[in-house]
Amino acid sequence: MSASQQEIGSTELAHDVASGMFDKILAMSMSESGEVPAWLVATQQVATAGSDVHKQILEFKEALIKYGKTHGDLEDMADIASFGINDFLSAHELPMLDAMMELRESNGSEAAIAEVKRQATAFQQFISTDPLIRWLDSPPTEIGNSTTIVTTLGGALSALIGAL
Amino acid sequence: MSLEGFKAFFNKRSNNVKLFGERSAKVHSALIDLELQLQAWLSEAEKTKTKSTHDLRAQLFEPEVAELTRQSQHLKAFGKRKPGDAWVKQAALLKSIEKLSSRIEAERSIPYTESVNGFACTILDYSLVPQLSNATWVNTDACQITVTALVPKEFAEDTEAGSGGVMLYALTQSAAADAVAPYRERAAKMVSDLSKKIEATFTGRTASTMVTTEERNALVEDMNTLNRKLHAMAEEAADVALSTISAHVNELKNKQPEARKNWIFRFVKKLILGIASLGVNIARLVVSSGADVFAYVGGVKAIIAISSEVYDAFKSAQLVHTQLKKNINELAAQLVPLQGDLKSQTKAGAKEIGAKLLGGLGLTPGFISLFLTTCGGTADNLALFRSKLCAINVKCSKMLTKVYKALDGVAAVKNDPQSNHEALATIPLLERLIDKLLKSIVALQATVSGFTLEAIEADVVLKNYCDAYGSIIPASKEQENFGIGDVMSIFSLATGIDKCFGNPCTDAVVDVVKSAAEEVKQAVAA
Repeated sequence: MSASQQEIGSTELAHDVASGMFDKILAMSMSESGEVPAWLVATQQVATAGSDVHKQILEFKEALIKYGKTHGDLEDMADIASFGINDFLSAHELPMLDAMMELRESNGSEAAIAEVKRQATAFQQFISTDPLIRWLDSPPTEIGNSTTIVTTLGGALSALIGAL
Repeated sequence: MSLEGFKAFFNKRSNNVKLFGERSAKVHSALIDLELQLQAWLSEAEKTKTKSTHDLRAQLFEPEVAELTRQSQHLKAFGKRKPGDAWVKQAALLKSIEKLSSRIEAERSIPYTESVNGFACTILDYSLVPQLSNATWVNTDACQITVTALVPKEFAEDTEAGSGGVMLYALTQSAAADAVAPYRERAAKMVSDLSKKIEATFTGRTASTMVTTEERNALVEDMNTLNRKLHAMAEEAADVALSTISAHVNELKNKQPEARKNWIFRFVKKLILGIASLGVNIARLVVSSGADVFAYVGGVKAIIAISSEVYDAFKSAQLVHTQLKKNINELAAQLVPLQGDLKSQTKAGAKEIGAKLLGGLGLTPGFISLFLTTCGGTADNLALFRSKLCAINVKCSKMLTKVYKALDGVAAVKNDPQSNHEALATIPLLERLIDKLLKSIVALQATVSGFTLEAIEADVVLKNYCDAYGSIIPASKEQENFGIGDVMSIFSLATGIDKCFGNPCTDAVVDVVKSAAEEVKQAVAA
């Protein structure tokens, strides 16, 4: 079991774990001196995109509750925000982040690059086909908020796959 | 996109997540109940027995409880990631908890003292056991009873048949021989004293001289007194031996943590406890009812014969885990190159893919042979292990026949108008004890019979797998080109283990077959 899998076993929310890992990857990338390898830059972009997307999801949940309050539909919208939009990314995101950490720790070993590529491809594929993400990126206009998961995170992943 | 569509989509998802949470809570609560049940049972046992016996019993379920707890903790995290699969896991976990729960209940019904004392008695060095050959009398070498030759056979049958001596002898031959040595010395002296007394009584008399009734009664009384003393000493020594054996088991556990997890290790442990229970039931029957019934059921000889089979199996089963794990890793490696082949196959070739996949998974005669070999440490040991289990099964059947004969005998006494009051008074106790013995034998037989399933049963198991997971395995025996007979063997082995314990072995096999079926389905769909 990897470090992140152990962490997720605790009460901590998956997206918090993911955010923490994004931050860590960013910090590691930024602290590099001299010429930054391409794989490190690419992972850094994914990390930024990941953090942005998580912020968007939180904002979307807030917008849902706000909509519920103003339209007499609070119970359903709160339920959706609490239970319906949880951890849908982590099944792909955490293994990919694990692989990215491993890549950093191995200082760009071939095996680690291949693994990141594999995980990122699976993640990218998931993002581009998952119906839940489609709903979040193109929600009913009444809600007044939307995410850009496919373009932001999916795009960064595509760039990462291309760079590796 | 419409708000209705949005709500319908997300309401369904949030309801599912909530439902998952509720079921998770159910799993946790069932687990807590299970632990409470186990604790209650153990503290019940602790009231009457020493710490060492308590530990022994605790060990029986400790690995399962730990595994269930681990699974339950993992489930929460897993559920967040893959709710669909987690539901299946939840259901399986609940099922495992229920299964373990009923096993604990069943175990609870075995009298505590009997299992524990019997356990001590059956950890023997069986290489010496054949010396204990006479079912009627305690062996002359063991406790230096030299009276057998001097006492007419009919007198011997009136005594309590030396069950205390038998028990003590068993302990002196156990892994705890050193701890029991002082008891043995005391017993040897007591036996020797009686022997000298008997010798003195009969010395100088010719063979044709009749033994008087008074002499006979005095002799029987002496023998019974001695036996009672030996029996009491044996009970005491059993506790001493048990502590030593418990320490021995713990040492083994520490040295071989892998072995402890091993299903064969636990299976054999279960067998030993089963045999122990059988042995003690026989001894009690003898003590309470005299030698007639003892002779009927084959007495110590039968127990020793069965136990020695298990002991050999036990010895051979200690080597298994690492090798088996290695094989599984190798199988995983074999699977990788197979993916490409799978994708190039057509639906019409599904059976061929199935056969090939089974080959890739290693479910070939070669693998089966390797698997079974590693189960037993070496090929010879494995053959021994399985043949021993078969032998136990056969011996159990023979004992059952004898027990039924004994029951007939009891019924005859019961229905005989000539039976005196004394004989009739013993019948209820006798019936109760025989019934317990019967249950012990049946339980033991059930434990081993899983390993000797008839082909027809294996066939049914196989068919069920085919029905459930797609026809990747031809149900017909005609298609033996990839070792269908051997596949059946592995299923029968796994099912047998499952029958005994609900063990992970079956799960492992199911997983292999299930994933194989899944691969085939995907390939066909592609």
